[in-house]
Amino acid sequence: MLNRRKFITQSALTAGALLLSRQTFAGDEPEALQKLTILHTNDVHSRLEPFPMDGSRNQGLGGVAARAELIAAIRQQEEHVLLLDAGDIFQGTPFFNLYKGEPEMKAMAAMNYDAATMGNHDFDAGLENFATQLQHGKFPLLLCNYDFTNTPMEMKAVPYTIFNKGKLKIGVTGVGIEMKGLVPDRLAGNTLYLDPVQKLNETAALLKKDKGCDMVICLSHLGYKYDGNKVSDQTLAKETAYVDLIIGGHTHTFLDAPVALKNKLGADVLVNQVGWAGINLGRLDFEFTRSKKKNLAKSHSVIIGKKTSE
Amino acid sequence: MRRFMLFSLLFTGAFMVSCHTGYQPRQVQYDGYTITDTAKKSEALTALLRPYADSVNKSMNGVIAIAAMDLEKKQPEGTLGNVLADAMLAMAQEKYHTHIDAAFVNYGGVRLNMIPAGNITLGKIFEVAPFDNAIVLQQISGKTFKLFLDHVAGRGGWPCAGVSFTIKDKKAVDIAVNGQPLDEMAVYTIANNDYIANGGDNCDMLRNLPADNINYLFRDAVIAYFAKQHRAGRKISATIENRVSNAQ
Repeated sequence: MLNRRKFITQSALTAGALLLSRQTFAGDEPEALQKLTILHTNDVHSRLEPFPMDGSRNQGLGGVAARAELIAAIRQQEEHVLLLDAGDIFQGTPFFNLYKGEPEMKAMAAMNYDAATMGNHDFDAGLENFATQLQHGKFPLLLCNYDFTNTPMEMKAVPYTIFNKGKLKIGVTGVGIEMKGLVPDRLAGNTLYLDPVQKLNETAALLKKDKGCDMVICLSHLGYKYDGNKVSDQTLAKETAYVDLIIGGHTHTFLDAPVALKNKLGADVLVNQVGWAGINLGRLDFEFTRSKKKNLAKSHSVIIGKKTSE
Repeated sequence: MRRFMLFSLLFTGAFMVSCHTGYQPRQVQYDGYTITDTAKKSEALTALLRPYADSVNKSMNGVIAIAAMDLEKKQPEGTLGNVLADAMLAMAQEKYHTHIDAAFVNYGGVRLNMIPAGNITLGKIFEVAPFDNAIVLQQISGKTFKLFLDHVAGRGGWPCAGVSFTIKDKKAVDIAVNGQPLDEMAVYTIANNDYIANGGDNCDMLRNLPADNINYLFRDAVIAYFAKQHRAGRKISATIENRVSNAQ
């Protein structure tokens, strides 16, 4: 076992070293190296202004005006950016009680959010209201496991969308949490919850194999991890294939670093989540290299190395 | 704006089985930003928000009471939860004109971790209790009450008033209602919000029981209770009374 681990570590390190040396030559072959910056939030819960300065733990943190400025600065530096949200846009400050989500959606449109999924609290003022406010958002709402037939959200959500960023094709989908016991029946209405593992597998396979996506991202409002058998991002990662990255929400989990898990083919899936209330903005800078057919294998390993801040 | 943590993950090897020969993610560097009050703010977003914020602040910045201490949300029992459950029990009894044996606030429904000592604004109550949930009453047998308390115990303990119990192996033991041991044959009147009474947080044992609902919001009860204390010259405070405790 030890030998095997040592072998994996060494081969991974060698590959990492090769990668690093390759990086220095990347300028010579711009097509061979593609970059994508993913910025993400989850569970912002109507926190449009920073937490008030009242001595509480989060005082002064968050707020869309500062987040927008930061996002704009990153967009200035990076050519290819995707800005994503994993749901629970609504509920938590008086803004929502008074305006039912209109300023939240308008703020997201102003920041140029590229896509979002829906959280359980996005049902809170009714599906008709969510559908109305979503028009202000100007981004696609992604859900592959809710069937909204015969609800006000019918035709308003899509299972996935594909972004072309430079030479890259990025497929993004979303999964929502089971409503039973969480969303009142009168708010869920005719919405049907479908098995997220099955639907995500179908959607990710479609995106990777049929649509030729280089990467599949899942926006999830299932929650990071649970003690029992409840389906979570851990389950999604382990029981699916073809998903590269899960941007999570619901459990308000502040992850210090994205977590790498193995999918059912043994390949790495990254899971990240950045707490709640827009206190943090997550950032993942991916580098892609051209893949050759003969090199395709079922699994890869990941090295996690820590660097100090610039 | 503080920039923290910069790590890198190196993807090595190839991983997908596909006829597609395109690009593969090989490496990812991650970074996280905490949005602080000293960060530069977008003028466009500030302008977009201003009309909404002006209106929100105008209606929400009024002080309705003063907290004598930091009121904290904690399990199995916290000072914030005790105050909220007391408010629910007292105001529901007043509005429904009836005796209520016990009142419960689901832990997940308390949306702030703390009300700090000092002025409590109306907006703060909206943040603690943002949901438009009504307080409803249900008549339940002692047997069903036990099932409900076991469920509450299994979830780590919820704010409650009128009842006390100990959590042992995720079940409720040593249950006392109004100071008397729970009688499984008796009928009790309990207050919950309509979300819980309708089976929210997987409270299936309450789901099909009839409920009285005069559409009196839990948040309105908290506002009324706090304002009442304030008018009487009292600051808001609470103590830990072992309403809910973990077995040693």
